[in-house]
Amino acid sequence: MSRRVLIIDDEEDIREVAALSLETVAGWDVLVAGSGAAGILKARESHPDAILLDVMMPGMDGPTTFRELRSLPETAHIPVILLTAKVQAADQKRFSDLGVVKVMFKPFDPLVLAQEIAATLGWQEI
Amino acid sequence: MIALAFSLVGALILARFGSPPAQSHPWIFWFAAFWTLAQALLVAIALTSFRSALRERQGERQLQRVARLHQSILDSAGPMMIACDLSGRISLFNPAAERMLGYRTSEALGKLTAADLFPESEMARVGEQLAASMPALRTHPEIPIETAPSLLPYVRYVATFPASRVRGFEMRYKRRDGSTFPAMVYLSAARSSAGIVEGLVSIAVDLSATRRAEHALRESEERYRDLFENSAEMIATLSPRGRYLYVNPSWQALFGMDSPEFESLIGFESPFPPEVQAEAAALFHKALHGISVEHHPLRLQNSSGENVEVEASLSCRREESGPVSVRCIFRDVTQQNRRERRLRIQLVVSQIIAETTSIDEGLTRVLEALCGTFSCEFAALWTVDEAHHSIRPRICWCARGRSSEEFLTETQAMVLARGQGLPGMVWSLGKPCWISDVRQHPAFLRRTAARMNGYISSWAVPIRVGNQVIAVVECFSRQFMREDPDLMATVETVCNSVGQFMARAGQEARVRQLDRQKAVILNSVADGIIGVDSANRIAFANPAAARMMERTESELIGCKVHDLLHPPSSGCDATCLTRRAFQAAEGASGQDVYFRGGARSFPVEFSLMPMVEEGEPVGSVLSFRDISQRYALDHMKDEFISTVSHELRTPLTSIRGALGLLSAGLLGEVSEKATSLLRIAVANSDRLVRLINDILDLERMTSGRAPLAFRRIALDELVRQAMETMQPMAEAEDLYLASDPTSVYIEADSDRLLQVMTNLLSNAIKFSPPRSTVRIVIVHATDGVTISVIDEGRGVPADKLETIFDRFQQVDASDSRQKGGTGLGLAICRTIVHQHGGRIWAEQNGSRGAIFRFYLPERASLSSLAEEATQNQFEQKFG
Repeated sequence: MSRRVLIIDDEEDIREVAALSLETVAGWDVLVAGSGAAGILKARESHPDAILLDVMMPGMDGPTTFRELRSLPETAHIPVILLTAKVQAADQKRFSDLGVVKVMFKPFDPLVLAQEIAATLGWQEI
Repeated sequence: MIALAFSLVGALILARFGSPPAQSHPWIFWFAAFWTLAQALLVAIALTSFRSALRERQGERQLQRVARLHQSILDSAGPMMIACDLSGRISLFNPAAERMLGYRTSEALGKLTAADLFPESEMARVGEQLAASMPALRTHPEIPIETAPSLLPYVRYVATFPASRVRGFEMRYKRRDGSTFPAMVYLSAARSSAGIVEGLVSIAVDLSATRRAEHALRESEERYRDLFENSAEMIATLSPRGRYLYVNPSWQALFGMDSPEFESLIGFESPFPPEVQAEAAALFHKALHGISVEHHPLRLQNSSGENVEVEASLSCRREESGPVSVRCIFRDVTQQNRRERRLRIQLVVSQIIAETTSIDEGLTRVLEALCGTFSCEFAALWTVDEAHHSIRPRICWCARGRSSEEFLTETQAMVLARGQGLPGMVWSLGKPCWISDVRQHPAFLRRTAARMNGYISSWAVPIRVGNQVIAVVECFSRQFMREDPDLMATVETVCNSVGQFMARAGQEARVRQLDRQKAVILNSVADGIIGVDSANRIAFANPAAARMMERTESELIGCKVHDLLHPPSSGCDATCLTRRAFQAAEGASGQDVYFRGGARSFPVEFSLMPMVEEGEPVGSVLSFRDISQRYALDHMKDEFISTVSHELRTPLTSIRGALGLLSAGLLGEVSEKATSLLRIAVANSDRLVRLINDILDLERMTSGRAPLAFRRIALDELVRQAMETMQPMAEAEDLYLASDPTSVYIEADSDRLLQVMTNLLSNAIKFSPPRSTVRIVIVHATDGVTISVIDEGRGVPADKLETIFDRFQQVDASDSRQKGGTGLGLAICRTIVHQHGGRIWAEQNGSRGAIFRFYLPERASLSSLAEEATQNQFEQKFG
């Protein structure tokens, strides 16, 4: 069964690379959104199995989007992985306190990204 | 007139002869003696008148009458009248002489010489006395050459003095039967009409009766003898003429003479030292004239040459006829005076030292007191200048009155070397010096000025601190003063106190200076400084501390220091590091949060230094600095770095992702060359990411904003983890990793320590040849562990062993490119090890390979813990 993963990132290049990586390496179905608001909308429409969420985004940032997703009944159960370029200790601690399943750091290796996500979420397919 | 005078003389002489020899009452003796003297004088007057009569009246008749008169005077006169020519032959011998000496006139005239009338050597003895009494005249009177040698002093005596100034003197006469008697002799010259001395005329009065009277007086003194003999006071009884009649043993001991010696003296003052003779004679005459002398101070030397101070009391015993005897009592007050002087000067000096605040004023008053006590008029204090090997005057004092200007000016201008002049001498000898006469002393340099201002005697005493002479006191007197060891001993005692005073004053001046400096420093520093006592109560606080705590300095004094910094509302508990540091009286430093005005917190950087005296903690000093501003800046910097990091990583993410996908060939076939280029691009983008990570890490660690999370960890477990992490890299290089399992627990931040180990392992792997081994060895010491990473690679040159821990300092500049390192790995390792309170170093592994070792203490130090705790607090409060 193909997994559906939603990537929410304001950087189009990163969206594209990440989507390509997950599609080609793991064969997952990848949805993308360029902002927090668009991401929430897409999540409510398409019920992805997991969400890769950027932190630093104009308008609604990652943590706000995450809290919003949590507050909505139809998205509250979807596991969220933060994908961030913010690597400082204070930031990391703040992120893990949010309640996300994992914080992953940019830049990532496109060949092992899918593997790490699957390992985190306990998906067996890969 | 003359006839009348002469008949009167005759009557008086008859009256003299008629009187019975007086024995029972002293006044009678005195009367007799006086009477005899009066007769002698009258006879002399008569003779003079007779000569003038001869000159005036040339008539034969008159001459005969005068000759008859002359003869009757000679015949009836009581005193002996004897004349002789210059060879000594007797030419006149009156009946009184016949009676007293036992020769007939016929036996004496022309047959006896003057020498026959005296005991052996008596003429010579008296001749010497007369010679001594004569002034040294510039022109000596003409003495006829035929004069016999034995008569020479007598002839010179009468020729020198006019008749009016001839004084009587005592001589012993010898009777025909050989017995002797004392007599008072009045001598005059027989002159020719031209005034040339032709012979001597003597009129002598028997003093036996007078001597008997003195003897009787002496015997009457015997009654008091027992009383006097054992008296400690010196007692002497003298005749009104100044002859010693009685001296008690104490008196004899004082002058070192026995009774007969005193009896042979001619005046009261004779046994005294020359410088007090005039004073003694004056006292005697005062007493003789009925003014009694009481407790008059006199300074003498005893027979051993020691200075003796006495109180002299003299009184005269009188009867109707006049003074009978003079009683003189000396009380030895030397010891008493010394004691009093010593006590007085010590008291005065200790008062001065206690009262004065200015050292120069105090020393001036000490000099004044010394002069006042020891009869000096000028004093100077010289201080030793060890640095310049010289001694120079610091303070001079002169008494009012006679000017000391020249001496003062010369003294003030002097700088002496060791051993030079009086002060230099005392400095070099280290003991007192006494110069009785500075005007004569060759070593005394200020002789001329001393002479001008009348200074005679001087003494100088060293002032010591311990064994070192730091100054010299010298005093000058216009009186002649004999060396007085006791005075110098007293002054030395005083100078000890003065030395302590000078040392103390010097120290106090230094302390005051330091206090001023300290106050300036404490008042001007921006850091808060608080001193606490052993009970942790605030003993002092500087203005900056008061300002930061929003209290006044006086409000802070006495407060419990921890309660002030962490009020109850701050919620600090037993783990509070500030509390622990104060209680343990240990040194600590780091960062903390204090509360001002009891409520508002502010971040501080603090340092606590315990004060220990003789092994006992007596308190501590806390200095702290408000780092709110710095913290705000740090926060901004963090933000900036975070943003920069984010902005660098974002494009890198796309690049790295794209390259990764391309190089894996997942998006279609890529030529071999393109694949190779893509691999290079991937490796370098990875390296760029590591570089960014390392720079951020190092920056955060060195700025103190990467707190360590200390935990008790098993070191062998950590080593295992590190090896596991590095295993893929080792396998890729075809290397073996090895370790010897040692179970050790230490307090450390495991993530950071892991970073150190992986960094070191990664380095070792990079620089090792294939199929070699990289080993980790743990050595457990008493208070810590040493972890060594040993490889068999190319090693580190000796000159790079230190520098490779600096940033971007690799053994070879091409290493970072070839091996993919960032050049920051070892710098990061060193920073982490230092944060653990340890150290890291590199060694050469014999001929092949390198060893990187780091030592970690078993327990993290308080300061590193404090830093960590503060960081955690900040993260919560300001993060």
